[in-house]
Amino acid sequence: MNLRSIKNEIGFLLIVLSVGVILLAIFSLIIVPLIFGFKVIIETGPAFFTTAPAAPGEEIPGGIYYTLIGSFVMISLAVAIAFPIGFLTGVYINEYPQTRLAILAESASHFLSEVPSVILGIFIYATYVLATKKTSLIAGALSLSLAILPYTVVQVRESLRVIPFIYREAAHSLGLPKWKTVFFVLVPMNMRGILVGLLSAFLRAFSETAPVLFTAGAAFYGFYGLDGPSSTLPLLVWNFAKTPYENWQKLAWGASSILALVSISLSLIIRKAAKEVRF
Amino acid sequence: MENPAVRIQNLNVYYGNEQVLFNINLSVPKNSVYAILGPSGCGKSTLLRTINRLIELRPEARVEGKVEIMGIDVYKELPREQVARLAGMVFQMPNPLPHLSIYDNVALGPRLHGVAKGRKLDEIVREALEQAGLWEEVKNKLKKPATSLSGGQQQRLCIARALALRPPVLLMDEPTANLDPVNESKIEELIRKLSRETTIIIVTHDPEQAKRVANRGAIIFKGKIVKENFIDSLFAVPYHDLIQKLTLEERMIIEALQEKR
Repeated sequence: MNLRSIKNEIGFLLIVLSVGVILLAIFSLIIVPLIFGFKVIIETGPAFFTTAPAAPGEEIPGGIYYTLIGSFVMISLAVAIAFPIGFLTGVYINEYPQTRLAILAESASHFLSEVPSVILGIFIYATYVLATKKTSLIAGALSLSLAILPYTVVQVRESLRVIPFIYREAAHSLGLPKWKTVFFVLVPMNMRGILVGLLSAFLRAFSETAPVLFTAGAAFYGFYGLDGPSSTLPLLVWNFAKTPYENWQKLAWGASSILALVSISLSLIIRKAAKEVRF
Repeated sequence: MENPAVRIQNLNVYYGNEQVLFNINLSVPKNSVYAILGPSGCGKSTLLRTINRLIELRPEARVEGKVEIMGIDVYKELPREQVARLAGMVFQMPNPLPHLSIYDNVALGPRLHGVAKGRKLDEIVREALEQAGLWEEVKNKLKKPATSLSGGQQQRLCIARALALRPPVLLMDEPTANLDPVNESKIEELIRKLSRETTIIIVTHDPEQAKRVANRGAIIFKGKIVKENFIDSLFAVPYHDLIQKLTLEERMIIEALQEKR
């Protein structure tokens, strides 16, 4: 064996090692919360999903019932606010790409996606929470909707952009006006792409933590309506993991396993669905 | 020519600052097949898209001059959407809308223009599919997606879709370029048959195809009509010799200009 092939072997070994380290890191990132969390959930039983957190220092961790409700309502509201706006903006940017308004909207959306998401929370805090004098589910939903808006815009625009020009020509040659071409031909043609956008919006809203820190409140023991304080799963993890009480730390592990499980499955579904789009 | 189906006068077309068609004048007689020939990039597809205003899909395009279909100035006397009723179009790539059924693809035009619904629409769809020679093959699966058909069938479906609005003129942009010889000859036969009632303008790069289907034609080179005549006289000089000669001349002019500088 000469020197060159030894060097080659060593180089190859290093590459395999680095790949292994990264895979191990990712794997444990997913597996650790799942193992720790599932242990807690199995020990607690169905009560983990149907009760409020227990008092600090008790034997049992209690459950995430009100946070699940809060998460569900807040995320749905955020998507309900952001998706229609993002959808129409995406359509507009794709259909009138040269106009000043479209260029402005695209830069704004790009800017919004690059702002650290905690700033979005501060913005809603300054404009909405201070004005209404309280944290609320609506305020949380508003800040989440700002966080998901740019993703919706990009996803919708891409869904339309990938449709080959020949279908636009077909619609045009039959005398379809532009708006009918968009809404009756192009959007239904790539409904899957649009739905992937909707799902990504849910995923994004589900996992964002920073925007809701100052806006959603921290109500883990009850559901107080749209106008009252609320909570989301990431908020629960953040709040309970940093306490010194063992049962609350367990609760946080349980909640993070749910977070990890839902976001991994959603993102796998999105990947699978997005891959199958073919023209 | 008395009452041509399509008359183009002093047509100049620009993409941005670049002129792509130069002073085009031609008349297409009713119920005939007219071939537009030329090497790729010469502007023949652009010319076809100028007739039904499809060119307006490109925001950078600018059209000067006059285009009349059945005596109607399509740029001045009609809203863009209505031009589809005067001229249908078939494309190089079969492009049935993949999310619609066979039936819905054909019915799209009549539905959109409020021509018919219910039984009457069924009749129109059937007639269009019969005209396109596709009815027997699809009559039992009209609700199946259009993409379930073979390439040749898809192209005939697109012809049916264009015919469903019963336009007097049918524009075809290299309709057999993506088909095998068997399907190519089916479409050519269809063109000859349809031309009894419809005026057909077909863009092709194949002089043999033009000889087989067309009565008259024009050869375009670099955006200009270099020859226009009955199909037999059009090829007095063999087509490929003509294109070669034009290409050589063009190169010599460019070289001469460069030397001057």
